[in-house]
Amino acid sequence: MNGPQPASRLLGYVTAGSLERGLEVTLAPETPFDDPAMVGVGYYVAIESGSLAYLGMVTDVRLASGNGIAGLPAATASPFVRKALSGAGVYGQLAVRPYVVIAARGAREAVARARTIPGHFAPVRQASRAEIAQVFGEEGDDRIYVGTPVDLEDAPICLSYDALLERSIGVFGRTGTGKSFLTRLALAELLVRGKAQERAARRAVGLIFDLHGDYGWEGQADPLSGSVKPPGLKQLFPQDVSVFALDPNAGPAKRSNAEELHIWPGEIEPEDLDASREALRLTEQAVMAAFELQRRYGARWVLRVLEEAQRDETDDGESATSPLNALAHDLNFQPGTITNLLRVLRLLSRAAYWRAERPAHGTAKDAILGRLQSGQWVIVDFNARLVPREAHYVFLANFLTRRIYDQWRRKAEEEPGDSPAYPPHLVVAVEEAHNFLSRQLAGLTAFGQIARELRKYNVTLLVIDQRPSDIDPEVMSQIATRFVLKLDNERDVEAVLEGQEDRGGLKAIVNRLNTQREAVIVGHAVPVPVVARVRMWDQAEQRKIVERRRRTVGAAGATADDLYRR
Amino acid sequence: MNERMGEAPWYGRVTSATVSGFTAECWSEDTEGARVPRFGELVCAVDGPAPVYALVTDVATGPADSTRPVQLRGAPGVPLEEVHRQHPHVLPLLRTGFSATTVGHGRDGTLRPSLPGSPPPVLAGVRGCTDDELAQVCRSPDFVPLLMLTGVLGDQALAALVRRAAATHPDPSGELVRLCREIGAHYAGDPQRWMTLLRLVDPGGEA
Repeated sequence: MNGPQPASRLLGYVTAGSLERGLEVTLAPETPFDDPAMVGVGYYVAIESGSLAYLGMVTDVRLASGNGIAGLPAATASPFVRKALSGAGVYGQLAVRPYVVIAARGAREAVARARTIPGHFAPVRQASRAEIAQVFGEEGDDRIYVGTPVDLEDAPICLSYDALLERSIGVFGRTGTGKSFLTRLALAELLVRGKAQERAARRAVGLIFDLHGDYGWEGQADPLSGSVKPPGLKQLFPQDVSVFALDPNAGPAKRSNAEELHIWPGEIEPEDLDASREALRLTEQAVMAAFELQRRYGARWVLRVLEEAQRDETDDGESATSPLNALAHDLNFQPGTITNLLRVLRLLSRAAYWRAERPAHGTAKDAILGRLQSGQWVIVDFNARLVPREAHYVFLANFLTRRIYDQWRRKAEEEPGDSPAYPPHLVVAVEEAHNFLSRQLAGLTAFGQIARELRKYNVTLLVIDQRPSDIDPEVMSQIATRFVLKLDNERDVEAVLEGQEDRGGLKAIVNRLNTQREAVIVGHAVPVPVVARVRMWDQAEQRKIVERRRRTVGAAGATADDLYRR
Repeated sequence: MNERMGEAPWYGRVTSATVSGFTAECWSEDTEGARVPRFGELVCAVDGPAPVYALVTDVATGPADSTRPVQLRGAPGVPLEEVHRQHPHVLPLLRTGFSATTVGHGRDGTLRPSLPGSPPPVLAGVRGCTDDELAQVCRSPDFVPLLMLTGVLGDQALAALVRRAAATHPDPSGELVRLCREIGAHYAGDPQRWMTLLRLVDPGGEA
């Protein structure tokens, strides 16, 4: 086990602290703590103490002075006096959280959680690349390179494929911070590694609910990727990815050879409406009425209700003896309740994805399920003119996920974990996740169920959201690995850091993230919190990922050159 | 500074001593090779079991016989040299001496920043120090608390010592800052006094 590298620069010495509150480090007089290259929140430091070496993170930078010397008027008078006082009468301090022990003689694990703290005057140095590698490993078949620490540009932060899939993942950040970029990167890397696994249960497939058409074909030009528009998953891995789109003729969907996403109302169940109640503006009574109607009319209840409504319209709908009013009376509901339900069903029936007749070649839901079961990744592209868009999005995502999750659960219960027929790991990526996981809805939606049931059925979530405070705290607690980009709202910052060690320190760091390309990564997949500069995804990086996929399957994917021959 | 580069000058002999300091009387001005030390200068009492290094914290001149004070000579505006010429008997009646506070002692060929086991003997010769000795003393200024006991004179002498030591260093401004920071630890309880010391040392200051 190597100790901290001698080349890394001394910053100061431990002068006080506790495991609970973190360490106080007094900077050496020669450490320029106002130099961002040397000191900053979120920077990693290595601390040597006896036989142990710790890796910690700077969570605060402070100015301190002894005996009020900084308050004396003369202290500001002369550059010499100021210089002489620096590091002696006045000095800089760092608040450091020692997270892990990275070098302990006789330790069985390479990296272990810190259970004690370094002693007084333990030297504190900038962490070196080797120390970062000790904690995060190197990029490989099982480790995904996501970025570098903000202060060490040549030290890759790599996350374990297994750890990322073991529990649900969250990507949180306000608009324009690079959520889609980061998610696309993570999905591409998961796809490549998921395909490379030998055991069925360790393979991964993804179901991606793509609200803005970001993931199938190339996304918008991004400051992170230079002038190159980052390619979508379908471009990178045409054989591995299917795209289903509400509007297959829209630009990106057309280029992706997207199939049409449609829905046959004979498949709609009251539970689908219940799970989307908020977005559809359905009352609880209207949902109860839906259950009653299903009981009365059977599987085709939606079509029957719409037929009744059609007849009603010819009677102008106002008559006390109209079929709908009679129905409301019959079911013991207020006419307004039925009207509310009917409004929603009409809204859905007017959408382009609605098919009154069951398609002869099967429904899109069945097609999506089939692709996923065969190991394909599926992107459901919602980039279409739909009003209100959110309501359709929430309804369709719930509709599909509930059924797919049911299938996965059934299969996982039937097959032993080591069976080749065991379902691959399913990652369900969902944008604007608070629509599905709010306090009111988390208990009703398949998304809430997936979050709560952890990986019991080999299904986890990848939630992408800009308003994490709207997500049910219980669900948030199950989102084990969190990528936190710049957030504006204090409540959102609180929500994403809930349950994390040293929340106060991390909060200060999140509040100081740059708007783009910087993320705090906390939770299950990282042994210590990371303040990362998200890696670039330029052409060279894209070629690498395509080549990695080709190494796995031979000629199945696009060649790296295919990507740029456009 | 030239005399420091060659052989150190002789200043006088110890007339009384304790382990923490001594007083010495200077040779008369016409003694060959003899000089009067400057305030804040590092000196060394060379005789005795161990050479004793001390910082000059006061220099005094006056009648050799304290019962016979010097009377006023010379009219207003007459230059000092003319007064001496007109009253040649006065100068031989005067004595110059200095007080010095111990800052270290030599043992086994090295300079230790601590008090000696015994004071220098009376009539021990006192010489000036080399730049190397000055640098050795200032390497670890643990003598500062003793100097602080001497009050304002000690602070002023210390300021002079620091400036001289820094001036002989290859990186004068860096050394000046380093010494001030090291010394500052001893003044932690009295920030106003430390500030005064820094102003005395400040190369851009008025002191």
